[in-house]
Amino acid sequence: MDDYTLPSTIWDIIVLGTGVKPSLLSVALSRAGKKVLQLDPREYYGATETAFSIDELEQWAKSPLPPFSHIGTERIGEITRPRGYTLALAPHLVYWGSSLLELLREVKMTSSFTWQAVGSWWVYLPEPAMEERPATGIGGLLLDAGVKAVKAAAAVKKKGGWNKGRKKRKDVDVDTEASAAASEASKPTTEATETQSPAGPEAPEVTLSDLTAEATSTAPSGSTLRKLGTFREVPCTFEDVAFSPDLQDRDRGYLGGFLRFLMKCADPTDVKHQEILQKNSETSFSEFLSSEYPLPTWTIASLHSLTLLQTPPAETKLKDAVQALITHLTSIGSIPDIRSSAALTIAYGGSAELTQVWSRGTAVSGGLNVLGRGITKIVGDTVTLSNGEVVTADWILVPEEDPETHETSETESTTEATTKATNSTVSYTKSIHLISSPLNPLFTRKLETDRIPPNAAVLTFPVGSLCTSAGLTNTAPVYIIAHSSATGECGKDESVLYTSTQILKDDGGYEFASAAVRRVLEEIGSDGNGTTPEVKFVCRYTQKFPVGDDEEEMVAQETEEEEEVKGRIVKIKGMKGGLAFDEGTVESCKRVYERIIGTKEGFLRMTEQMRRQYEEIEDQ
Amino acid sequence: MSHPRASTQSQRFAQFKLVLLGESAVGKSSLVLRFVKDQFDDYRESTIGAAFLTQTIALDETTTVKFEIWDTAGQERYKSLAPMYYRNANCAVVVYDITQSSSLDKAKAWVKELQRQANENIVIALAGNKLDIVTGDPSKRAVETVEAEAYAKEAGLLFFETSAKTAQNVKDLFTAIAKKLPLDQPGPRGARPGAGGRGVDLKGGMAAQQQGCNC
Ligand SMILES: Nc1nc2c(ncn2[C@@H]2O[C@H](COP(=O)(O)OP(=O)(O)OP(=O)(O)O)[C@@H](O)[C@H]2O)c(=O)[nH]1
Ligand SMILES: [Mg+2]
Repeated sequence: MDDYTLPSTIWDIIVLGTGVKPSLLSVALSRAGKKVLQLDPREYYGATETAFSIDELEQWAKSPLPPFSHIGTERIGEITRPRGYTLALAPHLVYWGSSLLELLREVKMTSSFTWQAVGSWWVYLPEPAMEERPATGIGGLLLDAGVKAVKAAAAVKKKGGWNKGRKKRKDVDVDTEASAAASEASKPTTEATETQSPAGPEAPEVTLSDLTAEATSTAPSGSTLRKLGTFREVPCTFEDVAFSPDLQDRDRGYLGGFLRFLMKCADPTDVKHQEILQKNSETSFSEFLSSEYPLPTWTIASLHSLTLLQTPPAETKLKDAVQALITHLTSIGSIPDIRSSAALTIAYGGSAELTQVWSRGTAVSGGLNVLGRGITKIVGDTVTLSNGEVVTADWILVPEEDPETHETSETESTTEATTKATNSTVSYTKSIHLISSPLNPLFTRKLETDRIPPNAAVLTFPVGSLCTSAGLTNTAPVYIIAHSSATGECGKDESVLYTSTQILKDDGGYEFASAAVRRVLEEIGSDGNGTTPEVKFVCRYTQKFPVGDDEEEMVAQETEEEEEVKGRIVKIKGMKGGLAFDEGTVESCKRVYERIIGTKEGFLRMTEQMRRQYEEIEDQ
Repeated sequence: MSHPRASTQSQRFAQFKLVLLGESAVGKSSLVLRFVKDQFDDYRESTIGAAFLTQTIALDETTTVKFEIWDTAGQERYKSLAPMYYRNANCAVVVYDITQSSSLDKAKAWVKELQRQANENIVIALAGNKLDIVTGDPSKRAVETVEAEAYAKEAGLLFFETSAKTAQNVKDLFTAIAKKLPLDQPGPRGARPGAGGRGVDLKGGMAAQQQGCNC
């Protein structure tokens, strides 16, 4: 690209970088009629959210630049077509209720992607862990009648909410209410709160022992909580709680009570529960649970896994956990194709696909993308590019913490003045394992009513469940996001395991990841003939992420001589390090957009011409 | 997958991503327009960014192939976009204009890039377009058929001389590609898997939701 001169030297906006946020801003501003130049000094799209082939990963590993460090790759098995893979640095989960999906639906962009469902959450729980209980808590401070609550919930579960659309059980006299269930099914999930009130007159009485008996007798049907070796499916609906064979009646009560508590917290008008949350906002998740809902330790780990938070339950703030759990619980049961699922993943590289589709959206609406070109100097509205070209722009959007695109910092004092004190960051160790088996058991339907199987799954290793050769045990959970080949990321008889943990390399982070992957292969990958699948390729790396609030660092370059300095630099913060797509992304991009365009209205909306083309394709 | 393999079913359906590459004005968009809508336009505007279209063809009584077609813009300014389009592509049509010899050089450069960067088992076809012009006036020919054919053979490409204007060889070009694509053994980034891998339908979900909200 170095030889290529730009068709114009005057731009409305220069966007530096092709990660998720710069790409979204680029296409949104371009669709708003602005003349956008999107640059990236890298030779590929996606920046820190990109996806690589094996060849590219190996190349990338050779010269790690912040926010990446300690990158290592290893080819173990035979790889016949290394360029055929699409391995994601950001295989984000996208919750059904996320603001990203809301935006994409609004602008009719969902069909630009292939979506696969994330199936169940599995927790690694060896037998001894199942016995463990915390020292008895105080209990019952908030809980009015746990057991009664879950009974009522299980009895009315057909009424919609978290369990809507699920296959009914014969003991819960369903047919009489089938039509009611159908009409309720389209209502918003918050309805479920209502169903918690004492069961209606026609709700049949079901005793807990009935539920348990039923659960055991129908366990093989696959519609109750499943077990894969030592991995247990996480109970996350009232039905799961009612039917889990691993729970004792009193646990069922507590767990049901906690789920009910979460539903109330999800309602911003429920003053009592907002207050409880407020009061306990700094309390740890495990402390709160063991005092209010004294559940077995494994249940706490199990529930915590649904949060996808990297901190151990004892260091996870209640408010963060509750927030994440509400997201999960309000999403589950809403996907028409697969009711047992709460989240989706974008095929062909997760968030990398977003960066590609959005970057090319910039071009389609008249902008220009140039790879292999960065910025070396910004003075006012005048920008010097890495090939020496000088252009001007009214606005310049640059990533905040990204040295590859940050050649500006060593230049003019005007730009240096804009660099505020850096926010704190957090590092996670990650790995990408290519597996020689499709790991089919992870990608089978949970419910008979699921029209499609999931093609992703989450596995969690709770604190203390893994051990290194040096005898260290993991002090934080280790997560694995498993992807089947239907994500387009690997070959048909393969799968990809993406791991993530906050335990750093020096504390055994990489070893824990390997140990976790080995567990999965031994327990889920074995084909029954005693052969265990192997890891064909692995890439391990450490990545630094921003933490803290979502406010963009907005710096207007207004000096005394305003006439001279027209340029405005906006610093764009990177995405957070969560396993789910950073919920603040859309809103923070809208804020930047508003700053430039004057309103958030119309963000990413199709132009008239695009609408016509879209309708044409729809007609086909 | 818990599903029967596509090959054991009586009906086979495969979906492939196809990308068109080549210099500006060689007729990429015209070829697609002919293939998808059986139309031709003497005054086509140069493509901005890229255009997306789909076309389904029946290979035989039991096999249907759907092409997701990315028609890229040939102008130099869009060069940075190309990698996105050939990423994950199952097949590519590299187009040149048989009345412009420089356009074959450009096509060769694209083939080289594809063979170096794209998926290893990508099926590439070379199309020498605007055949109607030389049929009318042989002196307009700038690239000899034998020359291009020899190159295609050496590089392992399918080869056709086409006319988007008269439709000559256009259908044959796409059919030949479909026949060469591996229907049963999709590799990485290969044919989209059958029912077992169909993605989540978000539109259905959206329609259902809108109904829910509008009441
Ligand atoms: N005679 C003749 N003219 C053709 C043929 N195919 C395309 N053209 C004409 O060539 C011109 C360019 O065609 P396009 O299809 O727009 O070319 P393109 O390759 O898509 O160009 P870009 O979008 O700029 O990359 C148009 O005026 C077409 O009418 C053909 O087969 N025969
Ligand atoms: Mg065109």
